[in-house]
Amino acid sequence: MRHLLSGLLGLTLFCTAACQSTETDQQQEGEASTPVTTVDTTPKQIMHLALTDTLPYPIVEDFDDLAPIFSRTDDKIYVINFWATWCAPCVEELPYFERLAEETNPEEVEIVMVSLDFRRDVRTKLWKFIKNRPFDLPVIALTDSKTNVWIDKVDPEWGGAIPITIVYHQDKRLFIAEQFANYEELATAVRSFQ
Amino acid sequence: MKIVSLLRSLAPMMALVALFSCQNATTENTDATATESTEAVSKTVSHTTEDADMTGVKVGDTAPAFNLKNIDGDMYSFDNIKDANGNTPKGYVVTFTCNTCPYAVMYEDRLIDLHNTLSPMGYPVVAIQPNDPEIKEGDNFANMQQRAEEKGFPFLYLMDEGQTVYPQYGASRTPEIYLVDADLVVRYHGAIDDNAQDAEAVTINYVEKAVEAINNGQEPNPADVKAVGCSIKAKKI
Repeated sequence: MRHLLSGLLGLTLFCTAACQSTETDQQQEGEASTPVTTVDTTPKQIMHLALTDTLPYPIVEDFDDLAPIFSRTDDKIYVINFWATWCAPCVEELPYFERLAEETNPEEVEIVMVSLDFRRDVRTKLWKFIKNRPFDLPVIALTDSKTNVWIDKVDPEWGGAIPITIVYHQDKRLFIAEQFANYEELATAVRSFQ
Repeated sequence: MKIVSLLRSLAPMMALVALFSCQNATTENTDATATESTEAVSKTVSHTTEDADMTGVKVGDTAPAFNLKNIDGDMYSFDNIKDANGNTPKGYVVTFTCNTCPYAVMYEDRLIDLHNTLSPMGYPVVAIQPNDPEIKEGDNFANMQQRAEEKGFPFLYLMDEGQTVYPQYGASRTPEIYLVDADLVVRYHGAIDDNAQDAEAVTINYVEKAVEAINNGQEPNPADVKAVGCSIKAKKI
């Protein structure tokens, strides 16, 4: 029953998003002043990170504040993707994550898209890009410039190129250092945890 | 998944190439063992980090040789590259970079400065473009020539034709540096400096620091620094 409800909620959200995307730019610009529907659906936080300003995603300046998302011990499968609007292969594989969000139960599979967009772009270019996507994936913008420190904390195997994806469930963990060629590859990776 | 497995299965091949090119003394037996263990790992779901660096070279390893075409049409290798004074270099700042990656572009001016500083000291920048131009048209030979002219690149800008060189180095992103000394040993690997997004905010230029260490007869410290970059675009098989 709970699944059905969240499924329905997901469907409603999807429809809302789909309808919104067909609206004109003018209406989108007016979104901030008419938040009647968005108030109920916009999350107040992404994972443990509270939303503190007008953006629907947190901006994390210190990797240590993000670190807890890689070591949750509850029963969910976590899918964490590192991407950026400037990264062509990352944008190419976004639809696979959007589809995964549609086809899985958020109570079972939680997806987080960690953006490595440039500091100067996280309030402008990134926000504009996300607004124009058909489906709202949870995004966290990471702007910590101490890459040499935090890349190894994500995974010592990672050289720093994006995209990468981490799928984990408690102690079981998969590090995928390449773009997914298709949706099935991503779905298979997630299914291996179910 | 397929990609990971594919990479894993390529790893022993690359390792073999590296072994044959740098360490002729290694026996075939050792190679065979390495191949088997890597394949075994590729079948497991949770990857351990022990198998992570099967490909490419690390600091202390011999830099793989190359013979690549520069934007002026001439072929260049460690044998015929000269420094700013026309002398045999004391070392080479081998830099995998390209036209199309925003991170690489952010470093263009700094790479020019780096060459202008280090080449007179005997350490010329040798830029290598590793992306498959069929995937990234902006990185094809004509566009490399055009970008080099626009920016006035003072360094060699070589095309990794057929993408044979970057896998031997184990390069995974642009930009990525391998500082190679006169004995062709990799002495430093990784980032150019400690702030990609803001040249003004840089506090450490790792490459210049490493060259200084080598000149003083010391080991560069740090010798390996990770940074964010664009994945190298490998030919789709």
